Amino acid sequence: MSMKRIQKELKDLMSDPPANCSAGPVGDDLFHWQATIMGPADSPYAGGIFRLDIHFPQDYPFKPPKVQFTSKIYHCNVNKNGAICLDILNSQWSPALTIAKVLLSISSLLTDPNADDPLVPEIAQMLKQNRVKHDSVAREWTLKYASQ
Amino acid sequence: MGSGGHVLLHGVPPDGASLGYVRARGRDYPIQIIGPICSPACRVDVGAELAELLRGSEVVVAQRLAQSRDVSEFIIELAEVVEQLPAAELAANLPSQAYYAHLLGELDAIGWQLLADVSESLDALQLALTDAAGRVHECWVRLPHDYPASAPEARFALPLDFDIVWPAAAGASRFRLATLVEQLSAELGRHQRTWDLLDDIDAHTAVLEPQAPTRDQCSRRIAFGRHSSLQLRLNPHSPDALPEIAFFGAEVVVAPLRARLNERLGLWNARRTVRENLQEVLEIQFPRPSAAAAEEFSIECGICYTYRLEGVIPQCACDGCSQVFHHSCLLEWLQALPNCQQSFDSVFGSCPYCSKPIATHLHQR
Repeated sequence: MSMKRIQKELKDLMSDPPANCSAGPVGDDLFHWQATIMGPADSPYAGGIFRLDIHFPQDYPFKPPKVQFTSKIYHCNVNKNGAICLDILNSQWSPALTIAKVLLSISSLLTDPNADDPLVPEIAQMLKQNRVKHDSVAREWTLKYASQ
Repeated sequence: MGSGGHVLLHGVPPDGASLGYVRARGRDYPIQIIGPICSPACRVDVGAELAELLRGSEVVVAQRLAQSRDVSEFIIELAEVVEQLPAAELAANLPSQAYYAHLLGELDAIGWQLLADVSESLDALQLALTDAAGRVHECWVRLPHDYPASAPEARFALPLDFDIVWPAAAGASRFRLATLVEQLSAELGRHQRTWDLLDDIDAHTAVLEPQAPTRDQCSRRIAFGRHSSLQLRLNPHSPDALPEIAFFGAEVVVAPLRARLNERLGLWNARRTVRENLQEVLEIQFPRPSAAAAEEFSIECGICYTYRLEGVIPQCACDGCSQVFHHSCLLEWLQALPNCQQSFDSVFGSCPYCSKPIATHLHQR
């Protein structure tokens, strides 16, 4: 059942790709995808192309997909292992969501970091106290780790 | 048991004889193996028909029997021997010359244009009968090898059960293909109105089910809006009468239609087609037919994204957003919710799409 659903999502992604994102399976394994998100223009991540790794659980879509960054990113909701703190990837997951919607949510998380529920408190603190410095570090990391 | 489906073992009687069938050349031949398979005393009794086929190959069979370690191995070997026999030795299995001569006469009588297909040995025919409205109906006829002494077997797709009534008089002219064609054509004539009405539905509405209707199917599931459809079944005895109707979809959409159907039943007019009547009575316009009807009307399950899951179609609809779900998908989702509640046979939770309360039964009805 999850196979059919993932195939359908892939088909929909191909026919109607979301803005600034792309995703698809790695090799023949339909349960393992790779995705890229282009850094939003109105964010310090602009110009970067961020890679993500997606694993669908066998009981997808009853359980959320496991999504993490493989590109290093300076963001208070993404830790150094690439884990993402996003409610829809945990408790707020619903089968009404799709990978396309998840990627769009991550993209808007880049524009609007959530400093009140941080995964990396130091970055959240920097964001709250010195936005200019936060953004300049984020730009530096984007240039260093997420530019082709 | 065994490779290639050669074997159908029937169990082992207490006296040590194994009864079974060898499947070869599309037929099952009964055989009996007497005595333990590895001993020199072991014999095989193949029955008259197979013995006839195997005449001259007895030495080979005995060799295979001596070399086999168990019954199933021997049966596979024996099936292979039979398969490899030259075709000429199978002539005994074909109908006699008189059969063919008779059959040609029969086909001359009914007209060769009715013959759509025929099997290699000419004992199975496919007839194509055209009805008054130009619809082509297929009829598969299997002729026994002693035809015309015994009756042919015929299969056809009709809305009602129908059997050919053969004349009581004995003799060569009793089981004639012409009789079959004549009676079947008359029966086809009886169902013209049913098929006219169904064809009208198929041509003008988006039929979700059945996907490729056959002429014996009198029910149709028709989409009339996003997430909503109705299922109707014509009564082949009186096709113009109000059919059995069931609505599928969210209660908010479906309940008013159900009420309208009851209120406006008096407007049902047997001179109109069933589709026109439904549009008039329900005050709806059926959407035009489309190849991707199921997808277009978003009637696929909101969880697994398929329409047919293990043969089941989505039957649960959210009253808030009309999204439909398979019972099994919705139940699995609701039961995994931390705030899921269960009371007797009902499971309560929230719709994955609009978060409004939704409930389903623990067991599918």
